[in-house]
Amino acid sequence: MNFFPVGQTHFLATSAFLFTLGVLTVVVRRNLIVILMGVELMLNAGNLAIVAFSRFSGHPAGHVYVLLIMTVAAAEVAVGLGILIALFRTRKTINADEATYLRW
Amino acid sequence: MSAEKVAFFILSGLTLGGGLAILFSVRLMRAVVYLLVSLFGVAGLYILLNAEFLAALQVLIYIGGITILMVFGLMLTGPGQFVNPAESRLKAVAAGVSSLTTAIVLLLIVKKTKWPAGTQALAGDTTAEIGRLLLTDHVFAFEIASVLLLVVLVGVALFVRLARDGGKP
Repeated sequence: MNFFPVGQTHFLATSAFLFTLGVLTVVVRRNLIVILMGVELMLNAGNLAIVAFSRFSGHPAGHVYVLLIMTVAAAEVAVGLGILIALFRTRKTINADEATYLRW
Repeated sequence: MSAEKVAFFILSGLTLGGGLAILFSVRLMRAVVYLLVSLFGVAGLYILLNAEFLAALQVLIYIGGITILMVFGLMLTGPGQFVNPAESRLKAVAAGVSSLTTAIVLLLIVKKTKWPAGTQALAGDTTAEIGRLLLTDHVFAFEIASVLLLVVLVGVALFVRLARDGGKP
């Protein structure tokens, strides 16, 4: 099989697999911290795809997008962990199935 | 095998292996370490893609910031949580099948699409170009991001305080 040279396809394939792993982590695991990790994996997969496109099409704008996505991801984790700690203080659990405040 | 191939496969293996290990990890502190490995692999892939600045940011923000935050979250939510809540086996199988399908479809898309070839591949140092773009074409997004960070800073502090005081402001 002729895989090479390392091109856009390889990076996009890695990104696709990473995204799938992230989705699977979010869907299957029930611990909220692990779910946050899955979200991070998905964001990283997206970033990787953007950087690959940017590299192989010659547009540096993709790097700016990734920079901004990283900022938002960091903010998202901070908020997520804040909510998680608030949940833990009031309900003594970080199981996603027991976080049912907004459900009746 | 050129050096680039070897590097790509090692880094891609680290990234995907880390992701898989998170999915199957039983101990949460180890899951954080696996996340670190995965993010480090992505940083390496950025270097392969000539995005040195983003690789540095990845190490700073993700590895130095987010994983540490995760460790704090883990520590603050007490011992009992180091074991995993039970997962439904049926759901896991269904999720596995559907995400396998997603992966196959994504791979087919990646393989079949004729990606438009750009004028030329990005090469050399892109840091200066990123800085220029951030303060010209994308200055609005840049400002929005700074406001977002401020809002998050205040919001999270307020949020955690509300939870401590039993929900009363």
